[in-house]
Amino acid sequence: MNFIWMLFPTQIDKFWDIAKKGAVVIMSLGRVRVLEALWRLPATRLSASTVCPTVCRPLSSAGARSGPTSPDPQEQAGQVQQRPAKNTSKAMMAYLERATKHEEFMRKQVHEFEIGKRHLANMMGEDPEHFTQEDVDRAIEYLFPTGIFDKKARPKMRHPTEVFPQQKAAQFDATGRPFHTLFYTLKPNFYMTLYELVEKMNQLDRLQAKNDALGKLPDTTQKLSLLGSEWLDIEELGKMLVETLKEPQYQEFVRAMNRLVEHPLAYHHKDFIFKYRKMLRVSNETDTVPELLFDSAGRPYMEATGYRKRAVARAVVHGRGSGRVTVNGLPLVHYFHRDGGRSGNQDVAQVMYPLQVAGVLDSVDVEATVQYDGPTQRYHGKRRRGHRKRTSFVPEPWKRPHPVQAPSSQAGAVRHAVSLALRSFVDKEMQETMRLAGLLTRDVRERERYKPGKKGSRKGRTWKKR
Amino acid sequence: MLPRCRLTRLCRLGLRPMSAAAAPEPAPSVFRTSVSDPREHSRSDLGRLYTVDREDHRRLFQVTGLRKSLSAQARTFCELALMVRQPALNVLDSLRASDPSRPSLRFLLYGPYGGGKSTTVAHVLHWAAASGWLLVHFPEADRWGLRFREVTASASDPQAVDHPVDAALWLAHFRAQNAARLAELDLRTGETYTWSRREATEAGSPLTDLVELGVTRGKHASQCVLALLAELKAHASAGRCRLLMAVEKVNAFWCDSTARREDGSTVKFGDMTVIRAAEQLLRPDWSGGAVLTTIAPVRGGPEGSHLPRHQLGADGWRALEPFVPIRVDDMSRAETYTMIDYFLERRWLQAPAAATERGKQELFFRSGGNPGKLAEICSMY
Repeated sequence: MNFIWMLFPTQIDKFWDIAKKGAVVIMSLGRVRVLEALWRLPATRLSASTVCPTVCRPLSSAGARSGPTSPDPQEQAGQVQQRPAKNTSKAMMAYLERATKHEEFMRKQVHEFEIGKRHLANMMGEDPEHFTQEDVDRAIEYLFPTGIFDKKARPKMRHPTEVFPQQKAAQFDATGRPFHTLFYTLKPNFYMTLYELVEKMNQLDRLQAKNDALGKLPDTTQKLSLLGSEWLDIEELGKMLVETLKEPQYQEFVRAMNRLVEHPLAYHHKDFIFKYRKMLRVSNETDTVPELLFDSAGRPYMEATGYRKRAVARAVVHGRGSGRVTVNGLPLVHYFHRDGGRSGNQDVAQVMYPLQVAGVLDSVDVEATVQYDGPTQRYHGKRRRGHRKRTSFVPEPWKRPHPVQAPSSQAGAVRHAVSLALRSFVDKEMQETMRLAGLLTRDVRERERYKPGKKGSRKGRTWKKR
Repeated sequence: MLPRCRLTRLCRLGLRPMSAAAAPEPAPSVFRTSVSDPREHSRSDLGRLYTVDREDHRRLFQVTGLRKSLSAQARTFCELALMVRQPALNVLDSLRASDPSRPSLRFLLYGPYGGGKSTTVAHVLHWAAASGWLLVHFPEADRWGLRFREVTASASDPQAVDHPVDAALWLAHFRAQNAARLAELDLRTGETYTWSRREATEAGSPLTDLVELGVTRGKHASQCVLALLAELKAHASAGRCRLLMAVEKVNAFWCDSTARREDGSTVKFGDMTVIRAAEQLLRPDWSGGAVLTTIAPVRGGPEGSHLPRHQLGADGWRALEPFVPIRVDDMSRAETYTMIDYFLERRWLQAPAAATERGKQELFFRSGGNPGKLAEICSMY
């Protein structure tokens, strides 16, 4: 006995099970196709199960030629009851079609991805079975070398679920009956979460009442520690629930979760709580602060490299010093000889900043070497006829012992290098202070490129009305 | 040492610099030394400030002689306070120990810009004046060729160049510095100098006549300088006086000036009468005195290293060698703190943070101990 199972796209997972049983499966929504299929089949006993209502009518009216016999009571008992035939609106049909298409699309993409991964593994000469995502990334980087600055713009090969935004599967069946009980809230997953939360709160209250009756105290050893994590933010939560949340809803969620967490027995639902928390990213740098080195005289020192724009600096900071700073062999104040006008010498102040924050102005010595590898800079501005550009911060040539190219980027690089080296000399708290002061972060700002049609990167040409 | 613009700003704000009467008497403190006679300065006064006597200040530096910033500071604080530093003491020790019968010693002060070379010269001049030496002081040698008021072709030598106004002003400066001592010594000219058909200075007339003539008659001022310095050289060699010549930015002597002759040719410093006059004393053929020179980067001079050989060039090196090189470096931490204490005492630095240890560390770091930079920074707050 063969069975024709009319399956809805949402029941795809049943597809293979049923196929194994040897049944013929027709998957289609269009009634014309179903009829065609039915005509082609040999006249066997046909049984319809969860038949699409639009198909039912022609079948029942087809007559004796071929049509489903009245379903066996036993068979019907085990099957999903038939829905009453109802007009499905075009909108609903379209919606269901969209949902189906997306699922098909995703399935195809996943399939292609898996195949592609195996091809890639073969290309790279690796074992396709144990080819991880990291291996994929490495392979792509090797096969598609790129100089694109933004990492997000570089070619990559990821699982389709990471690439394509998640969409919800069909939320209601063809009759229009939604699957989720909270469908009509318009954000069923979100409100389900809140519902579960409240359930858990109530459960904990009941548990606490029972414990109080028994005289049991909450287990303090298992107390939840939320240190190092924070609630998912509104976007992340929305992504997780595949629903766009509004700010008041999110605030409500956070308030409710905080209440749950405050419960003394909250540790019972640790998994549920941490499902909605993200661990704060631990910075790589603070983890790997190198230990102090010691030179032959027993003096502690540390080396580090710092960067700013096109300048690279290497600083060696010696402990047990007296505040002497030399750059490229010259005293700091003589190397950075740019006068500051009203604000004083900015370059010297930049190099002073990390030493000042760490409070080691007179207890360390610094030897720095710095190089600038970028376009040659002119000291004075463009000279126009009758106008002498006053560069107040550059001393006259006969006062300048040596020209310094791009002093502010050199000073910034030295500052970065000194900051990184100083980490080894100070405690964790001061390292955190330095991090918050922005001393440890490499300033990624670079000069914006020139664009044709503009004077520089942004400034436009003179606008003429006519 | 403080920029003049700061002073004018204060005046515009309605704050006048303290008048002499209102100025508080400097209280005895750690950063000051009470020894105001430079002849008595010694190691124990190192790193401390001494106050130049008001009379001496007026006599030595009234017309010119100090850097603009230092004289502005002296006006603001109603006193001229100089720090006793090692380079100056080195020079003074050498001068005290020098033999007047031997050829004159030549000192060359060099060091970073704003390091205190001119201030050292001022200290040594003060000592020399107190010790009864005659002073021949050229505060800024490069001014003769760069920011001169007027140059004219010399009467005697068509290639040479005279400075009618500047030479007269210099002679006034010389007179202010040396009038009293010259009168005491009563030095006389050894030759007759004929200025024109009617004017002449006879041999045996006092040197002050030469000076007066030059001050009043700009036309002959440069020649007067030439004659005066030749006479002084002879007197010093003869042992009748001790002579200190101080030339700041001496490396300018071997540069091109910005003056042009009528035919467009560049006037070298060596073509200038006054410079030739000074160069007489730079030669090692006289005794009874000393030469104190300073080098500093000048416009038109070689760019690059600030060290003597590079700045003097081959000609200057040949002319000055052998000399005693003395490096005038940036101040040490202790000396810088002394300056900061002085600014605090004079109520120049008013931020409370400046008086704290951390504040002083910051000021020392920012300035690198360089006196010029420190003054520049302190004038901002």
